[in-house]
Amino acid sequence: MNPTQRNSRRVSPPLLPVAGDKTKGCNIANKQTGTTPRAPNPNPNPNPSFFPPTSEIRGVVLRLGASLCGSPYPLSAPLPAPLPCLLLSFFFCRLYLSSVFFCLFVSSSSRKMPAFAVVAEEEHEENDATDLLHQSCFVLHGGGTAPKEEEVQQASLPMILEDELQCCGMWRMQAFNIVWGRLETLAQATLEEQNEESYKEIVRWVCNRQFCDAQQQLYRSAGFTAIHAIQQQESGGIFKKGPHMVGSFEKQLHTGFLFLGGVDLSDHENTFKGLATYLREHKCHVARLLPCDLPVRCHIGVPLSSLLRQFVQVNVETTDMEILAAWYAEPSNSGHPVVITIENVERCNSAILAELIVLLSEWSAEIPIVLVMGVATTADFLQGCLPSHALARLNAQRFDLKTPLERLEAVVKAVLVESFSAFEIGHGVAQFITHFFLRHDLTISSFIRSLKVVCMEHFCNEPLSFLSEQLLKCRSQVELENQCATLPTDLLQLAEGLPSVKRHFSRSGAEEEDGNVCISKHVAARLWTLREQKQLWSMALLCVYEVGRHAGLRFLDLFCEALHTTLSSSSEIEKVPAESFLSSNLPQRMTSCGSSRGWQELKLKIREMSVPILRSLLEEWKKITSNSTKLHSEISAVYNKIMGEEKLEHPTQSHMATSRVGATQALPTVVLQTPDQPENGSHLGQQYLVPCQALPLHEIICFKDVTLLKQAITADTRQKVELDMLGSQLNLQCECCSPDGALSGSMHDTCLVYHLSQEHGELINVHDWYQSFTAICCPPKASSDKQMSKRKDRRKGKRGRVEAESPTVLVDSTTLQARFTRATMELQLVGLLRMPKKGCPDFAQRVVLG
Amino acid sequence: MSSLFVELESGLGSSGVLTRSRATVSPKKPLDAIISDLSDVAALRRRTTSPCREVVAAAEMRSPPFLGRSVKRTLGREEGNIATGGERQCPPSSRWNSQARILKYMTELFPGRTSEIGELLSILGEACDCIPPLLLYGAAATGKTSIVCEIVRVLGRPHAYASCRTCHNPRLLFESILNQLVGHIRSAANNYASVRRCERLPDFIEHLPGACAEAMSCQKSIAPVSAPDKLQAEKPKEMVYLVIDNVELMRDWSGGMMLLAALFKLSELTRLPYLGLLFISRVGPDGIQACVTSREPLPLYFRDYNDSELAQILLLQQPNAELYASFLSAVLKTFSRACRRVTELSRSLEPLFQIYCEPILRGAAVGPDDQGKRQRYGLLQPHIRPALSQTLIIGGSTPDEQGSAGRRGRRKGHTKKTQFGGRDANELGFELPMSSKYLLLAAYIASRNAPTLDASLFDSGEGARSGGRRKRKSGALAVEKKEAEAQKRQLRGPGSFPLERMLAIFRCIVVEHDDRHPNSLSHLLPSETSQQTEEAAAAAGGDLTEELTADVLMQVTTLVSVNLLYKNSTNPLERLTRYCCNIDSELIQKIARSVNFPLSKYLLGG
Repeated sequence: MNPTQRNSRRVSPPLLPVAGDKTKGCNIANKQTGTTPRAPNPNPNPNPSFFPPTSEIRGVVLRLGASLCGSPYPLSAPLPAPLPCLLLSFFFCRLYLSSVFFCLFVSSSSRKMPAFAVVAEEEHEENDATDLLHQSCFVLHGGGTAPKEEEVQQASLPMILEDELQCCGMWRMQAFNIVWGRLETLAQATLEEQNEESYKEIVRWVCNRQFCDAQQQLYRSAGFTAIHAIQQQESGGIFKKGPHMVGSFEKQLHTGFLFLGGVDLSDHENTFKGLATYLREHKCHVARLLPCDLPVRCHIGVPLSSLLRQFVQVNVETTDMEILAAWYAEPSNSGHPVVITIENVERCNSAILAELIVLLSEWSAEIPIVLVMGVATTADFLQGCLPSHALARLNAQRFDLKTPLERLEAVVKAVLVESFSAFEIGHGVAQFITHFFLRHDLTISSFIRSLKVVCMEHFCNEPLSFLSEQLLKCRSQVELENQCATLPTDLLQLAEGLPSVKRHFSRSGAEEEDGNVCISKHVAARLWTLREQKQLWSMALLCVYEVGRHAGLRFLDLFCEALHTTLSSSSEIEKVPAESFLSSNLPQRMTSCGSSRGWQELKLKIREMSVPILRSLLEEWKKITSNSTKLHSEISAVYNKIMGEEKLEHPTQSHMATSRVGATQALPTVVLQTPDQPENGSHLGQQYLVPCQALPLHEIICFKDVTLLKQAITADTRQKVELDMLGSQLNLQCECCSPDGALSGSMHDTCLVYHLSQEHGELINVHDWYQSFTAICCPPKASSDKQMSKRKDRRKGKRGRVEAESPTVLVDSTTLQARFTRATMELQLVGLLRMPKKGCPDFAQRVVLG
Repeated sequence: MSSLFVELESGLGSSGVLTRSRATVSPKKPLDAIISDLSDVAALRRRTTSPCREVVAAAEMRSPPFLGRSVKRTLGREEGNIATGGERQCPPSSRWNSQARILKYMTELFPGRTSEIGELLSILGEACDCIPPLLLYGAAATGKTSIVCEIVRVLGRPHAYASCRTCHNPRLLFESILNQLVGHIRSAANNYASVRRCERLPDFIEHLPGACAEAMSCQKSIAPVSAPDKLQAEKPKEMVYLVIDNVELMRDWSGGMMLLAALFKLSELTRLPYLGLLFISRVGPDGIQACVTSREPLPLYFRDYNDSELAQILLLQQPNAELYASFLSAVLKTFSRACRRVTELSRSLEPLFQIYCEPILRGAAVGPDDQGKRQRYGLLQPHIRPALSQTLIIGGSTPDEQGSAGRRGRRKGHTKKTQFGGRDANELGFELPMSSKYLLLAAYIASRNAPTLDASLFDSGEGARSGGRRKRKSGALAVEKKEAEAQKRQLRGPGSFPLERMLAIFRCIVVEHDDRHPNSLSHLLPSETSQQTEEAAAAAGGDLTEELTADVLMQVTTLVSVNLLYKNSTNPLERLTRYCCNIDSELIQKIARSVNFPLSKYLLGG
């Protein structure tokens, strides 16, 4: 075995096909593998990234078996079974968003995965061939601790422009923190508000239950009091009340089913926490049981011990309900209902849950236990999984949380419409996010996360984005002007050079004035317009939504449509929308058609409205527009007109008709100005429903790059691994391999083996596979020698082979076998291959997805 | 030799026959001697099991007539003694008097259980009557536990009650019994600890005599010097009862059968002849016959209630007995055929009664006569069938107030619920993302169709539909046969499938379905349907038709976690993970409807 090759084996990380053999000429940058202990990094090329350094990343060691080396068919050896395909894909999902980092592949093209790394470590340095496989692979995942507060304050975002000032990065970071903090708190507050109603209802119910129970007990025991009294005399009343009270043959457990509305439960981590605190505020004892307290094949003691720990807060030796009863009997605790919340009933083991329900119901006479269960699906489903004797114990009540869609609407309304946070999203981005929400996820948490991604991307890519902080802070235009005046010249020039500004200038034909003062004034004025226009826009949108609600339109759709630039612009203003729409594909165009259609429908709807509805609508509008005097006065005028006509005389049919016509002529002009009716009160629609994207300088606060967002949000499946394996030359761009994809011995083993496996069908004959591998890896002479000798072996038998072959060939074939084995094992670990089964030991199975 | 016989007889008396023990054991004989005798007897019994068993069996055979007599006697004296009321002045009659009173009280409390109560009372006998271990068994909700606990409580005997449900392991059982006997009360002061740590059976046997003695002394100190005490002082000992509930659960414990066998002969193991053991179980003696050497407990069966008894019990709790009786006469027969548990019956009858009362609450002139009854039944009839299949009744979201206003509210809530019910026929009840819906559809198709069918269904989009039509044109007989097959398949339940197959089907149906959708764009109504089409149109150009993203795979885990999909192994390293669709046809139809998916075209046989 030649020494260079041995060396190469040592440094190549076993799971990493691309970060491969340097001796073979593959000059790959081991990106971000700063922690690689032994492997020298010949070409360090650290990508700029804002991820935590990998030194924070902890490792998990997957040790690859070393005992595989000797066996001729190592694949049939007892190995760890293949990782199922899902495992990897799940790790791959949301790599960017979640903190899970799973390293398998360094995709040199993807900027989004800089933190991927594989650390190879050798345990032994011996030259022994078997030890070459004695390597460990660290599978990395995200750093555990978040950077501290001060670090965040001092940290700066990477430079965007070459000659950007150092402080700009810091400013942008600061601005991001402020803007995002504002958005996040708004979103959280909205979500809590959404849940509050359900909480109130639950608390009211819990208190009512207690009262009802007391009443019923009184009523039931009344019939027996006479006998009771005598018995009390006779027995002296010495015995403690057992769990079975007189006359209470129904051992019912009050249960509230909290229907969560969606199957994805990542939104509801805080729901139950909030419920618990809310209940505690109302003097209830609360304990939360998580699905992990009710695992599969557990004993009833597990949930009970969790309950006791939470209620009693003393370490008790046994898990006895008597302890809970004794705890409740103490004067400080008694009198308040005991609420047990079980989150996500579907995830709990139904057998143990049934047992728990029966047990708790037995004690419900002594302890006023109330159960609150979170149900993700339907009640029918519960009926299916719980046995009837447990179901019969439940005295159930239904509570509904708001559906994910409703909550998203509320969040969007609060975060993106009603408030000004100096951060907007473009039409395409809004559409992408909502579509992603509807189609793939349906969770608010993912929506907020993608909003965060968008925000981060914006502040990373827009050099002037730090201005949004000023825009947010300043209370008046003058203040903003002062702030802008302090900006360096080149930044102001940059602002002047933004495409939206250029477009406006060319259109309005205004002459460019020189002088920083003027420019800064312009910038400030335009920024201030952005801020003011946002208010008008949101007002107009809310008004439109009032109409849309009657027409059964969803807020999200209206929101997306209202962000559309072509909507507001009549034909002469803006022919070409923002550049993102140049690349607009079919769906966007279709929805834009849909939007104008929707607008038409809305107008028709207003015409069809009856007077009372119209009146209530106008009242709503008056409320909404109370901030804007102009719009308000106009609406009031229309309102008064309608009211006056109504009051004037008893409305006959004809009068109704006339009033309606009058109103409908006025109304669409107020808000719903469309390109079709420019002559009809043209100024309003243009003035009000103008999205931020249509204004100059919107780049500073508006993010509209859909492709960036897509790249960040949608994760690739394992198919990406497959494709990268096949196109390893393109990714690595090494000199040794030909870029056209011809197979050669210089390729990484795993890639080579994978290429070869493509020649087979679903089942791969391991022997053939190995033969083709040796044919490519060995120099042709040697391989032919080997095959000759192999042929000889078959005749001679196994024993004769060892004797016949010369020692050098033997070593070579052993190494080859080892390399082949390792390559197949890596394929198996990645989930591209299944090991031979018992039925057909000669065949491995290829796993194909898609 | 003759002395041994006497002892044998005495031993048997204490262990098997309840009445003769007092006759044979002389009151002057010291307790220790009796105990040693007993242990000898136990040893002897072990050696000569069969004859002793015969004796015991004979004793059991003999006991019922005697019991019957005692009950009769008790009943006979009842009328005379209740009027006097001064039990304490006349000791000999007070006993019978109290027995009769207790029987009366108990039968009043537990209607339909007269024979069981009488039997139990006579077995328990006097405070110092030794009893064999008793096994009370019967179906759920037949009053076993309530009756035993109430009798023991009313009799005023020292006892301890432990349920194997609450005490889910031996330690808790032992400690709970000891705590109750000693009168130990857990509190924060003693860190909620029990009186003694007692983990194993030997510990329990060691501590039990002391606890029993304490229980007795405690009993005496609380109920001091009543009139018959002079007699009692000369009696050997009073009984202490251990009531152990839900014994059948003990079989699932590790070593539970052995423990059960040991508990059956606890009085011998602890050498306490005055230990009364009452076991309550849903399973009869055959089910908990532990091992050959175990002592057979005396069985006492609690039969199910019959209809009239059920009506009696259900009436107990009702304020308006007359109305409820007429209601019961209308529905009880139907319901009692399905379920005889009082608890479940009363629950499921409650909403029906609300409906029954509705015309009266409304103030409609519905008389109590036959015509009114018929009228009300007519109102009730459509609700009976759905109520029969409903085990989980969930109240509406609006909590009701007390009184008539509350009732009105409830009615309102009910109508609202029916409205919701009407809408529920089309709605899911929970929201799913589009990809999840398609995944579930794919999973359903994969679990209902044979894998060999996939190629013909999905290889070409047209082939499936035309093929389906061709098949449908075949003769009536074939159609019938196919229907029968489909039914059989439905009964057989869903098949399992690998993930790859489901994803392949997913892609096929998504592509095929979304291709067809733009045609339906022509509906331009400002209603929900237009929204849907718009959405679908967006979906057509959206992500779904593109490559399978990781988000789709994420959805698979989500669906697995809420049990809509079922995975046969939780081990991620296992080779072949197979999935199973856990959805009934009703729900999947709703899902299909919500995305306008022609599901029946993809299922073999519709």
